[in-house]
Amino acid sequence: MTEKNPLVEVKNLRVEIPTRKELLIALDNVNLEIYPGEILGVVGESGAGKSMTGNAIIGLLDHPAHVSAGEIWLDGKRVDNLSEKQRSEMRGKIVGAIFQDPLTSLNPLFTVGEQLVETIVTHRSLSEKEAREEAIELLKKTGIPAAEKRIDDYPHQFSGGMRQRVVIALALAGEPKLVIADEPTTALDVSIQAQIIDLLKTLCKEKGTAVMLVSHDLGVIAEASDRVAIMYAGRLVEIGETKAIIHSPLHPYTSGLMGAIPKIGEDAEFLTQIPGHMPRLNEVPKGCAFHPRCPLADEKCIGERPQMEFVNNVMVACWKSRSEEIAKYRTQPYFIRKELADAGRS
Amino acid sequence: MPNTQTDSLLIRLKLQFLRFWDSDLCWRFRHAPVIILSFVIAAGMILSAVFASWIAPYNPFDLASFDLANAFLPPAWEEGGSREFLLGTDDQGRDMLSAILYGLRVSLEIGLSSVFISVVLGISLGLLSGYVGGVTDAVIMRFCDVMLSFPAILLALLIDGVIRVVLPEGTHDEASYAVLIFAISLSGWVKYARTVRGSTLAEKKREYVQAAQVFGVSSLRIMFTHILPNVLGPILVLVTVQIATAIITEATLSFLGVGVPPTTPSLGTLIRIGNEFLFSGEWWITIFPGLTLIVFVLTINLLGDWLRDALNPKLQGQS
Amino acid sequence: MQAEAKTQQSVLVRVQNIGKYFDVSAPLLNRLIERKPKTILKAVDGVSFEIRRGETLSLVGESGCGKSTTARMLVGLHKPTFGRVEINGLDMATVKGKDAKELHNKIQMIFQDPYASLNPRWSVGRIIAEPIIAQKVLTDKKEIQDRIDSVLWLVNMSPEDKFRYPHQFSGGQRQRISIARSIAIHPEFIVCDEPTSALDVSVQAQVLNLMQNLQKEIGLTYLFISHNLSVVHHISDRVGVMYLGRLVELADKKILFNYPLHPYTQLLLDAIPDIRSVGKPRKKIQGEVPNPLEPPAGCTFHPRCPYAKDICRKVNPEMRKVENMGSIVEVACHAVGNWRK
Repeated sequence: MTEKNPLVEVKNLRVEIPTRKELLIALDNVNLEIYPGEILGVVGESGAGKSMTGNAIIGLLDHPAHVSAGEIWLDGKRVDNLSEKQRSEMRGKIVGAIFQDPLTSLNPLFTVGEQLVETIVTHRSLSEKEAREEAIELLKKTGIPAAEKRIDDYPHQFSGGMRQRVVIALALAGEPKLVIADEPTTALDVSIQAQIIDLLKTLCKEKGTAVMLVSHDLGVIAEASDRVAIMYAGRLVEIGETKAIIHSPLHPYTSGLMGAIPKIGEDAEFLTQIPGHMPRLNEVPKGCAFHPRCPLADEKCIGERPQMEFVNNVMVACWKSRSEEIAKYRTQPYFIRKELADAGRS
Repeated sequence: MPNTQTDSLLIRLKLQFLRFWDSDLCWRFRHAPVIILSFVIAAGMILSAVFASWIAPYNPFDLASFDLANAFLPPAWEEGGSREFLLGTDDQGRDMLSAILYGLRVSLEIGLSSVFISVVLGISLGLLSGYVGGVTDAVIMRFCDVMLSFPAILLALLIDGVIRVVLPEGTHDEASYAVLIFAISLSGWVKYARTVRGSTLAEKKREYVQAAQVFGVSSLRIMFTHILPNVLGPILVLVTVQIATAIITEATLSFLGVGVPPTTPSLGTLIRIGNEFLFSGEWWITIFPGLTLIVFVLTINLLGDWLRDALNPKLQGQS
Repeated sequence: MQAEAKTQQSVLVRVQNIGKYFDVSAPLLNRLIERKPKTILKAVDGVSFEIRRGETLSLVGESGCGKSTTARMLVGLHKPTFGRVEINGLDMATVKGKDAKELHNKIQMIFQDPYASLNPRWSVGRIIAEPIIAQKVLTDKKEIQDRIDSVLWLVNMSPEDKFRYPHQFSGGQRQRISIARSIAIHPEFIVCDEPTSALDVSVQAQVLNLMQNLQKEIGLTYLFISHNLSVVHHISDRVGVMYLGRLVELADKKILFNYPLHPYTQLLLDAIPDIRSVGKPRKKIQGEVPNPLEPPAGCTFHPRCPYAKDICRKVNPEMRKVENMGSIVEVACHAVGNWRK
């Protein structure tokens, strides 16, 4: 996409979670890059590993999950092998975070102003007075009315949407190069979602901040991201320009997802249904993780795990991506009942 | 022809047991040596108390079985002691070992019965209070507050005193067990009620309860079949701790002289009796019952503590 | 008379001006000291609609609009503060005895959270059998087991699943167990409170397909509550939009989505992220849903409305029938038909 060096490089990342019964592989050989100033969407269903990836980059993996292999490079420096102290210095200055629940992201005991000023003073060399002015500017930019007064309010005095704006301000206060937004709009009303997404886009483009936008909502991703990465069972299955992937998905799982989303304007009676469910981390099949649910699966898919390949401007991990079958494969809306399937009807 | 009814029941029980054995709780238990030891000791003591009549060499409650001539014999390993009385004898010639075993039994009887009554009363009132809410809740909670303002010992003394006056002379001894159990359970039920009420308030809002309400399940059924199994966790922990407390309360009351009659001494009575002789040199009469009490209460408390941590879902790993 | 009886028959649920007020005042002592008046939350403030047999009516809106409370009033979890709910001609408030039992038999509910709507300590079989036993629909043990097996099959699960426990199933499967439980007594009317909001996209598709298929197979009527307009568009026949406790528009799905009349409906439709509008900016939306404890005077939407005039600040518009693209639509707006054609 660009000649620039990537801001974030994740190489062969493997995250394992040892439990008393077994070893769970939360992320399996994930490779991705985020370029400066772009918005990368990371899409997947629950348990696919999208939040885990974000947490690994920031260094907030919940014990006992840990990085067992691979490297994470941030702004030219390797970060996955840093000590906790070095990591926390990095947070705020290089990486900011926005989480799903605005209520728990803010400390209820301190005013919004205090929290903003603390971040600004810690990561940028400004005096407290300058920091406060900067904080007011930030609040204004995030669209909070009467910022000079609201800066001394406590988090609980803001409504949900306003609080998320404050969280965005807080994330950007340290002028980080990367912001990881994990489901930033899921807990908000639809009409506010649009405002928040818009805000995120505008601010980040303005400051040149890269964003890793994690969401299960493809609509939000479609609207906000430049490139998108699709995750399945801890693996990356497709990554490329959002427009390209949404209009012509190459991986059968991505196709299935597109078909499963109800779209206003389409009048299908049923939605595309991918049979079965995503495997739990302790029952990921050998070969391609998606093969039990894939109508195109053959012996190779069952035996060998597909590697990421460059096909049509997109990186995709599927043995069938170059074959003609993909071109012919259209996910039809259907509903399976065992006897109907037997009777050959669909 | 295999009997499918009992077969399937056995299979289900076996599955339940395997499910339990494989659970987080059992795994933690198997990997905590202190707890296993505590469990073994506590279980051992309980079993020996239950089978006291078979294990104990003598029956200390049978007035004919001891002889004043044997009084104040020290433990077997001391000078002057004898193999017949392993832990020595008390001022009446009773064998200490037997007295302790029987005494433990008395203590357990009273402790367990009063805890049982406390639990039943507390859970019922707690469920009612939490589920029905409103005025019922307010009344029950105020009642709890009143009960809490009386210290347990004081309450027991009060009730005991009243009963003594009310009942005709002579029947008091027989009634003392019942009175004791009544008094101790009355002072203990409030904890359960409060805990259950809190959990009930939380569970009441959950959707499986609302679903049952939509189906027209009666409130009583909802309380006991839906909510109760889900609020039982913390109760289990309270129960283990409360058993220890009940036994100590009974021991205290007996020590104060308002507990069980001296003919059927509990551990507390034994400690009291022995206390008088502590400084004249016959230490074994009070020390051994005292040690028994301490060890038992300690193991129960350790188990209770561990259970509370083990059952805490926040501390559990991923399932 | 005959024709009237026919349309009467085909209406399964009739809701007439129901409302639910909650008293959320501070405790008495605080109020006396701070001289605060009682605080009443008007969660639902006068809602009327009908649901015809076999159709799916959706209620859509953002947080605080009262759609969940309305749903709960229909199944009896909340008692309406005022108004009347009629199901199959029977008034829910006054029905007694045998009729009450009939009523309970006909209505069921599916909840949002697949993890909390099933008792974690009960086996699936027992969970599904509960409504059957509670309402004594069947008493023979074998018949009950057969019924459990048949509804499990209807939701694409196997009869062996009845021995398992909820935690052994995924969210989507648990929701299907919920659905199985709700159809176990062969109801006619199911209230669905955000049944797919907590599910992943592909699982949501499975559950929605299942619900639609069941509707045809066993003849069900749905009241579908959701905040997700795309889902609502897919599954409903008619849609009602709610805002701060009132209905603002009620119309056939196609008409509402293609020719929305109420400014709030327009705002909602503009706000939906569409995966086909890659990179296209959405229209700027003003404001947020106001605090339901202090709703604006007059039309509660007027602070956010681009068409608001004086009357909007004073008088709260009632729902009235207007003609839109050949169909009758109900809308509560002063502007429609007056200064907006």
